[in-house]
Amino acid sequence: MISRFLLGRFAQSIVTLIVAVTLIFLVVKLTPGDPVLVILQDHFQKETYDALAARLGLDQPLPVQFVRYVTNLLHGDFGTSFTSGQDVLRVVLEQFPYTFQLAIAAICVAIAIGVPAGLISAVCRNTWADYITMVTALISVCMPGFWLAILLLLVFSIQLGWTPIVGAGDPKDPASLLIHLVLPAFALGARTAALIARITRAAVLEVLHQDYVRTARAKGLAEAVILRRHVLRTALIPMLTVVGLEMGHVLGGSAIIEIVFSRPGIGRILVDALVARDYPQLQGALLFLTCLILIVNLVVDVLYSVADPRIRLA
Amino acid sequence: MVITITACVQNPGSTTSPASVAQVLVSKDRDDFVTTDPALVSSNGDANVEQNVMDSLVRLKPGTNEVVPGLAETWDLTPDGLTYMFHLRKGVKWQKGFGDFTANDVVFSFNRIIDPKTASRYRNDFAPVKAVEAIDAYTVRITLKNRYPGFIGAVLTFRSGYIAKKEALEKFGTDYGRNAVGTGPFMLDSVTPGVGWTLVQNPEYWGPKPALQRIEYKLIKDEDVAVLALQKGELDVAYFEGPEAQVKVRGLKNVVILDRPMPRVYFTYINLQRPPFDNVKVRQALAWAINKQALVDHVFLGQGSVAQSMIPPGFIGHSDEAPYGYDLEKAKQLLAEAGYPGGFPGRTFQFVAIDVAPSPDILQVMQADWAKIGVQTKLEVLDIATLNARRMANTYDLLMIPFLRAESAQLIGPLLHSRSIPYENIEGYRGADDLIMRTESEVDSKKRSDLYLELNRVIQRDLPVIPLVYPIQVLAFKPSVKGAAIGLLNLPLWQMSVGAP
Repeated sequence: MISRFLLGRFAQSIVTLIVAVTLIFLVVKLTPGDPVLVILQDHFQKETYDALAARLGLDQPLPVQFVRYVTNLLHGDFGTSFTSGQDVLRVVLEQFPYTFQLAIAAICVAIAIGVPAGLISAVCRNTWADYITMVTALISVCMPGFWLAILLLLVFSIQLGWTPIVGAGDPKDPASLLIHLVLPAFALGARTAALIARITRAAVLEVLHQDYVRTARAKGLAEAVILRRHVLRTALIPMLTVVGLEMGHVLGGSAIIEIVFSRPGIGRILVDALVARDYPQLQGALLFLTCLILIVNLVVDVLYSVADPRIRLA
Repeated sequence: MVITITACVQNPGSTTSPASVAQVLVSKDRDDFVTTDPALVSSNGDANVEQNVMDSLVRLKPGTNEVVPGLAETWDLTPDGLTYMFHLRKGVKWQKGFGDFTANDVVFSFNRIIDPKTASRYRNDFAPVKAVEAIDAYTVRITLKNRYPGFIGAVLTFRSGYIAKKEALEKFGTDYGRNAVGTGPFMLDSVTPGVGWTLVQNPEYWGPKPALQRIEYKLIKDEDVAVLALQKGELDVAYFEGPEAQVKVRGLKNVVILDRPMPRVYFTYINLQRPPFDNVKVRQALAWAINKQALVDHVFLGQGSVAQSMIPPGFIGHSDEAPYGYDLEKAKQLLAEAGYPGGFPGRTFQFVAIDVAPSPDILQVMQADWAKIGVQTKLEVLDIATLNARRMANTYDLLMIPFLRAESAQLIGPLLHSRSIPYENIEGYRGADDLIMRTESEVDSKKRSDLYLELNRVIQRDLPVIPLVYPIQVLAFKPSVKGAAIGLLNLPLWQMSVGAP
């Protein structure tokens, strides 16, 4: 059952990937702007333009470029950056650890804040705790990430001097990495924390009124035990979906946070590649993120089926 | 690009001054440091590393436009102004064991840029060059097709003028950027993409040993963040281009400020190929209607000055003659004389600019100014790729851009000579070809300067472009940093040191 479920999901992922490869290629190529002109800017003669276009493979018809692109991908070759001349996959893999750290930290922050907040809000429904929690969640969802990031910088880095302003820290020093992650993770995870809080509240409220919870209370179990053993486990299932969906937002939304905190990462690669019309780099980074999100969603689906037997047997 | 230098204390017994660690905090460009390959350098990150790791035949004396010896000890120019003979320094070593610097390196480096197969964006800069030859191991002859007295300052002191080592390029290939090899005062020690890079002192440098032992650069794309980092002490020195950041950094305590005009002018191209802008009176009306002082005061926040000439202060040929002021009545009168009393009701002109601050703000101010004389504009703020595509397609009426170059010849000829049609001179101006050629070929400085003044007047009369503002550049640093200066297009780190706070 599980195997058939997983195989089905895996097959879906492959189809999604094929569509994504095609769409990424087309959308990037059809974006207005000429990468040759970006490189040459206002220094060029026609001869130079033609030579550069030929070297970058841009003098070929679009279908030819697409076939070459797909053929290279099948050989694990993501191409060479127009801007740096470096292997695209190498550039992405060098900076991916920073984005990964930030994304995981942001999700951890989101869960650590969102779940307890949602639980408190549900248990203390229609009290000041509930109102304050939900209003704070609403503000967090509405607040632009870059605004929160700058605010955090001003307060914690400048005024209080508790955290550094720029950089990702020394890769060999976990403490340095952590201190450089605190503010960016909070800035990036705040919105997700708010969503998790709201989802958790709604899920807990629904579960709290279920018959089996009433039965557990009737049996004399302590409220804390009921919450932990019977309520949370069920209520957290929707949270898995949120985490899976939000992973895409966190990975893609990391760009602005990376810029504010001067952190390296894939988000910045994407922005820089888009501005420069560095097609291979942009396509490579987008494809990498796509694969990552597909994997995350697949893992979430698996965890979902483990957490909820009803999904397995469906 | 923002560069920071911080101090590291040397061995107690050392006679050298304390070493420093520099950190680059802000990169004004989108790019990380990628390469010092002179044929391919593009961003400020590349240029700043190139200037410290590589060398050129000649260089600009920091803080001035004066050309001084570099890898060439002396040079001669034949009386006809067509042939340069550079006499190279002996005993200069390439870094990382790549042997002695010789004339063959110069020949390779320049011919590589000239080769169309390299597809270097700087090939155009070498268009006046007929041949580059090694006469012997330490003599290079550069023959020009036409006299071009600006050649040394325009080409040989700037990005493509730095000398690359053939064997290093071949050995490292696409990894050359992380293994740069030059003959300069510093060596590239390490690069962490997206984070920063480190330079260390070159122990075999041919010139005076720099005081700095180590420079660490941090990549910081946002200048406001760089101001905060400087304030917090995470940087020792930082360079600022944006007016808002410049004002903020001036307000910091315990920070020393240096500023000087940038070799840049913000100006508006007028597309002469699209009526009614083919009418000089319409163009002059536009010029009279722009409140340039308001641009300086409110957009540049006082960090700049009004421009009347395409040539910034400090360059040969700069002129302070100001035939245009801010006079709306005069502008309306000119429009009426051109046959457009009341302006252009019901018509909107496309006004485009790049999406980098403060260009969008400049556009808004000018839009409001021109609306007062009946010239309505639709603003389009575009990223560089889209902007270039619009230029090539010639689908705009007015274009506002900043322009930065190393020498007067590069500021006028490429933009306004008809040879640049349909590329840099897409707008199609042909009114000063002869005068431009004479400024480019006159070897006598005084005569050249006089010719530029005459050229300025022609440009101001014909107005294919409207100069707007000369911005300034600001260097902010801790009091412990000594020897700080702003070069024309560089920060001379080799003359800096860190003393007691």
